[in-house]
Order: sequence, then structure tokens, then C-alpha cells
Amino acid sequence: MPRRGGPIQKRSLPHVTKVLAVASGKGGVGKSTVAVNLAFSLAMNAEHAPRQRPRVGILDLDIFGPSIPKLMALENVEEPQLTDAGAIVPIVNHGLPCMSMGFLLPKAPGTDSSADTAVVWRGLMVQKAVQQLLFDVDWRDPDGGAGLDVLVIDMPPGTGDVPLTLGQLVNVDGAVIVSTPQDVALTDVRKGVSMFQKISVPIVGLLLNESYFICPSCTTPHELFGPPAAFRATAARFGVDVLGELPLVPGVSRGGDRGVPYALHSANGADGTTDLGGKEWRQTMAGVAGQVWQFLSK
Amino acid sequence: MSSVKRKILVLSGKGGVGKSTFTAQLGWAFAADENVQTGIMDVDICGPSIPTILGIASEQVHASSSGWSPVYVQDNLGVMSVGFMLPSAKDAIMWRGPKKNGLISQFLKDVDWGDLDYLVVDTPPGTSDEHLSIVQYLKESGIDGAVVITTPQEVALQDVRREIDFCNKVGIRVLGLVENMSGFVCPNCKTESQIFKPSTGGGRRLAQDMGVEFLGAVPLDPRIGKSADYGVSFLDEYPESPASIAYLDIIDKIKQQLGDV
Repeated sequence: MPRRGGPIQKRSLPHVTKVLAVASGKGGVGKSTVAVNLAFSLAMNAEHAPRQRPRVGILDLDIFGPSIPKLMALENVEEPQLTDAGAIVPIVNHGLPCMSMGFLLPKAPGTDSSADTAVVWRGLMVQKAVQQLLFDVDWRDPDGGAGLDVLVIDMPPGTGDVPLTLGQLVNVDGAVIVSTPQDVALTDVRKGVSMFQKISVPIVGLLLNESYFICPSCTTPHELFGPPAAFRATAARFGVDVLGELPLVPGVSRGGDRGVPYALHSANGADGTTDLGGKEWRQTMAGVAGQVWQFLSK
Repeated sequence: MSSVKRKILVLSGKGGVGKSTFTAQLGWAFAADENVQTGIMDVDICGPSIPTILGIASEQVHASSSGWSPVYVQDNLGVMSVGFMLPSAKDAIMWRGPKKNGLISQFLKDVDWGDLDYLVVDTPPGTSDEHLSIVQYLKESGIDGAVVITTPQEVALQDVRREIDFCNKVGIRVLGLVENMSGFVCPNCKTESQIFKPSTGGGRRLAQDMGVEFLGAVPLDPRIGKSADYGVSFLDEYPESPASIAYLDIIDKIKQQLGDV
């Protein structure tokens, strides 16, 4: 379809002050897990935030593999409602509103969940879905109508249609790029950084996930996916900050599957066990939240 | 494509579960028999990992009168990846669907593979353009089956169920499911830890529920990642690792499923 007029203008998202993308060139490094836990950390660590109780929302832009419903224990919900103006109302759990393609998919016959329905679409339909998720959601608080201080966007892997569409249409205030230690991941992460630079999105910094695992029995740390040296060198080469290095804590994956993000677990662990590295994980995540608020307030 | 006897796709709904790593081991295992000609095709245009994993990241492809020549890791193991066509490893390829489909079609038609016994195709995560294009282009000459890779946790299994749904929708036979990163044995004290808890029964249960064969579980061995980063064959370097034994069992089962044993 031929475009009329000049180049597409980037715009802000309605009722959203700042937009933070959580991305990685690579799949499976923990973008969604980090996005959800970071969103909660941002809400809980308000020292550098614009207000004492900042309003944070989560938008899942992974059209093909939307994980947010699972991570937020929102799998078997009813279809989202629409406002009088026809905008989609986000679904709230643990106090945070979120929106995902997962809420809009048809349910498989005989089940309550759309979790297993494959989305098999070509690029143009993906673009349309992304535009709807970006511009047709009403993030205002039902009591009082306040908008969001920050919307955390969980990006899909890769450097294709979705980041392109986002970069062309929306003012993104910052990107946090997640990686694991391996070269194979870093190769794709470098592309992710290069992509954000091409679409003029400022990079808050790089976050290392799954950096080491502490054996619960003998407390030896194991760098299961390699040492952090290559990751730190990549950050240095691009001149971006290392926001933190998160250890592998089984409670994080457990929390994800249960839909109760690890950032919300108390120090004693949700089921009475204390994962080694758990405290450090939470502290690192809180540190990342602080750095993000400082970056966004500049 | 008629000179290729068996075409196998390696799929996962989820990113980062080890598709490319598994594809490489599968390629090496097939090619361990000198008389078997194997090809590996990497269709992950945004994140082509195969050249790094096979130690040929700095190679370039050459065109001859009979088409693009694959890069040969061994005499009987040829590789084609979009990674070879990139000017530099740090450039992001930001293409929309139609342009990606054009490249995939070139890979499938214009690569001079010669006669192959096996072609293993490494895919990007998801159920999008690349997958639809591959299936469309390969369907004429027949896809023998897909191996689906997962990790144990539910967040991964969800995406994998969608992938199996995709296979059913487009008529690809699922040869079986592999559960990767399934447990870690501490080399010090030998305690086994479940890092990615199979809170809903893991790959085994999913395979049962969806009526597909469970090919096996591969434990986490830090040397797998290291071998991939150095571009060497994990199976060759560390044959005594429980992960190598698991890989080889799985590969035997795949051959059985294909009727090649």
C-alpha cells in the first residue's frame, strides 16, 4: 500500500509516560522473565522514581510465543474487556496491569486456555496485531484515571518485524538488553544492540542472566554457560553499562511456572526452601530497577 | 532437492533451548560414518548460530555455475547459513517477511548440495514467515519429519505445544521431542539439581499428552556450551559425558523413526 505524505512520525503511547523495552537478539535468555521481574522491581524500588508508588505496566509483544500470561498467572482469564471508546482494558494481577497476544487468542476447543494455539501468520498480520497492542490499550487506572509512569515491553527474540514496527512507530525511552554468557548468545546480542542503535533507541545497559549456578549441596559455583568475560567485553566494546549479573536460581523458573514472579517472593522462599543465590538475585534486580529509573529521569 | 534422501527440521516454539546446538551434534553424528553425506542448513536469518557452533564463522560462500557451494566442515558434512552472507557478525539483519522468504527460497533452490543422505534444517524460534516458507518450499519434495526441542519448564513447554500444533496444522510428521538442559550433576559432589524445574512433568509428560515420541533427555554439561563457542564437536571431545551418551541415544532413535536402521 503506497504511503501518503512524509515519513512515519513516531508517537507516544496513550497514557504512558515512559517506554522501556526489554530485548535480546537471542531467544531463550530470559527476556520475559526479566521483563516481568523488572516491572515489579520498578514498582517496589521507587527511590529514583518520579513518585512514591509508581504505576508500572507490562506489554508482551511476543506474538508467536507470548509467555506473559503464564508468568503472571493469568492463563485462564476471560477475553479482555473493551472501554466505551473501543480500547482494550489491561488485565491485572499482583497489582500490575498487563496485556499480551496470549489474551487475545482463541481458546482451543474443550479447554479454558489459549495457551496451546499456534499463531501462524505472515508479517503484515503481525504488524497489525503489534499496532493494536501498542496503541489500542487503555492503561489508565480504573480508580482515578492515572496513566503509567513506565510501560515495560517484553520484546520477542530476533531483529525482524516487531522491533522494526516498534522502532518506526513509537518513542522508546530506553532498552535493557539481556544476554547469557555464551559467545553464541553474544553474537546475537551484538546484533540486538546494533538494531536499537539503527532505530535510535537509547540503551540503558546490558544485563547478564544465568551467569552461574551454586550447587545446593556443596555450594560450589558453576559457570554453566561460560565465564562472564566475553559478556563484559561486549558491553565495553559498545560503550554500554553492565546493569547487573544474575545468577541461576531455580526459584526463578519455578516462580515463572507458578505465575508468581521471584521478585515478589519473600526472603524465605515461597515453599520454605531458600535458594542459594536468591538474595543476590533480588538485590541485583533491585539495583537494575534503580539504574533504570535514573536513566529514564534524565 | 531430489538428490536429498532425508530432510529433517529441528524446531522449537521457544528460543534458546538448544536447537542449533542439537542440529550441530546431529550433523556430526550422521557424518561420523564417512559414507553418509550430510548437509546442515541454517535458516535463522536474525540469529544464525550454526557457523559459530561448527567453527566456520569466518568462512564465506562461493558461487559456482551449479549454484552456491556449501562450506564443508568435513568432506561429508556441508553447511549453508545466512551467517556466511553477512558482511560482518555484528550487523543486524532487519528484514520483513517477503525479503526473508526470498533468501530462504534461494537457499533451498540455489545451493549445490550434491547428493545428500541427510539434510538437517535449523530453524529460528516461533511459527512465522520463515517456518511457513520452509514448509511450503520443502513440501513438494517432502519433509521426512521434525525433531522438536524443549527445556523442562512449563514456560518453554507452552511454546512447544504451539509448535507441535503448527506441525499438525501444516502436515509435518513429528519424529519426537527432546528435553534439553534436563538436570545438572555437580562435578564436585555429584548431586543432581533440577535448575529448570519440570513443574508440569517436563518434556516426557508433554510428549505423552500430545502423542509424540519422547526421544530423550539431555543433561546440562557446561562443556556443551564451551564446545559450541569454540566450534568443536562436543560428541568428539567429550564422548564419556552423560550428555554425549544421551545425544547418541536420541540420534539412534531418530534413525529408527526414519526407518534407517
